[in-house]
Amino acid sequence: MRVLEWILIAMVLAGSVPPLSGVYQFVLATLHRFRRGRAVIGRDQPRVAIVVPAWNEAAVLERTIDRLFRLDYPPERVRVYIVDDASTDDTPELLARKADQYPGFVHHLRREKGGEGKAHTINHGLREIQAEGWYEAVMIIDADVIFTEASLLRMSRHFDRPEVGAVTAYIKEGSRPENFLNRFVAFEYVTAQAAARRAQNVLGVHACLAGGAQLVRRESLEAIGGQIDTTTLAEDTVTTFNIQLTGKQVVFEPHAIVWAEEPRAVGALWKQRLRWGRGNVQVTRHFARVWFHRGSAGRLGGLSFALIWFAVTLMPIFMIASSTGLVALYLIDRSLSSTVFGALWAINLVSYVFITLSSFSMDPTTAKRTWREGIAFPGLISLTIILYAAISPFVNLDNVATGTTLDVIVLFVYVWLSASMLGAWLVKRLEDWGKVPWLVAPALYVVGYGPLLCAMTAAAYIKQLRGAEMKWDKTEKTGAVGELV
Amino acid sequence: VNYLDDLQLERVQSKIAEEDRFEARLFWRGVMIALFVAALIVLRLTLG
Repeated sequence: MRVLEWILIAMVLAGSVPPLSGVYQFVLATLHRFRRGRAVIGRDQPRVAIVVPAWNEAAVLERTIDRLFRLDYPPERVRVYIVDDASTDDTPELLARKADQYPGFVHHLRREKGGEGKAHTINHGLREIQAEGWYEAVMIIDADVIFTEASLLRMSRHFDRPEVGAVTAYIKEGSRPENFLNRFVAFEYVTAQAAARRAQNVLGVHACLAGGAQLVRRESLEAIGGQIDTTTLAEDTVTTFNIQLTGKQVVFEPHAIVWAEEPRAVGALWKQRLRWGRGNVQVTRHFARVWFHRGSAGRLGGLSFALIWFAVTLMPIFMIASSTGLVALYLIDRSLSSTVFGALWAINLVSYVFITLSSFSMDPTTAKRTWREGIAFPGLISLTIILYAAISPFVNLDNVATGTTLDVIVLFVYVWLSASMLGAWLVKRLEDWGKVPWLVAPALYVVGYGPLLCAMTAAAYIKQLRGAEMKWDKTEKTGAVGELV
Repeated sequence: VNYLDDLQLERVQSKIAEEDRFEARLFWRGVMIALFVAALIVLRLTLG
């Protein structure tokens, strides 16, 4: 075989990097019980200042505060600081009422000039609590999240180990009533949080403290300068990296459950993930000195962490490389293209079965309501290809004449890994069009939620390359969120 | 009260014991799933 063919085969098999990375993480997650440094609960718990950035969040804040007051935690050791970013709704009145209802517990920090974004709002709160000096740990949360009663205690217990600098919780999708998109997001969070973050606990390195629930030890906050990053769209990821670069550990607590409302429409999800995706691109560049530098960056510079990080951030590139390689092989050697295709989809099949079943096992409660979305996660078209490729050796192209219908179908299947991203974008366009809203959900099941995630990552790259303005697009929240269990 | 009382502590510790059991089950379920997937691969290769 010629060098070109080997290069093309490598390009095709690049499409197996993301699923194999998923399998690797699920295997690690399964070993979570053997992780090092398990926490115990003592009587003494740190004084926690909860910082809640809020801009026009009156619809959700009351319940958030009420739930925080009911936390299973010594009440004199928690204070809630709502940082009101010059809200123009009823937030100030609501907070005045809540401060009266819970004296000493609720603190209203008003910014008269707002609009600089969430990170600046949080920093205002951080400056205030540091000036006050009461806190031993700070918890930064979103205004709409619902903390289950034992969640804070489950998180704070990890500070029993001095090497732990920050702890994050398991954010679960809790929109009520839920729709098809919420169920896809719920399943995604099982893979991206319950599994991936357990795996990161085992590896001893974390990519991101969940923005909705991050508990940071005072010493760690001070070690990173007492403020969070305002130069990227992923301030929580920057905080996570910086804390670990100071030599402290970040921990995920899978049993600290926090419910959050997530977007109900593809367009809203697209906007949110575009921000996350652009943030990841910025972080990748911001920490260029970290990647593959095990000596200076510790576990952040390790191969395992790079695999996990780049399998996600470079996913669109892997998919496009795979399709391009297949089509090029098809033009050079149709028989070889068929063989390599079979190998790629065999890997995809094994990964799909392992990841889907493991996800169901990782969070059985969520699995009960999202198993259909779990099965349809790659999309019904990809699923058909996976199953067909598994049952019969795909199509022997030696017996297929060029230009026939079957030949065209084979070519379609070859480009689907990339074309599915275009399909996902068309689903968004379909929703934007608004003429056939009933068609959006079935179209997404056919195209797949996985390709939608990939398409949003690709869109983030495009927007970042175009040098689009860096602004914080707030995800609209209605307050329709609750514990589903 | 600045500290957890006995009842709170007992309740929380019992929850932690539940968590440990869950993590142990997770491990064994993972082993079963891995065996299941391995059996599927062997079956497919055997059938040709």
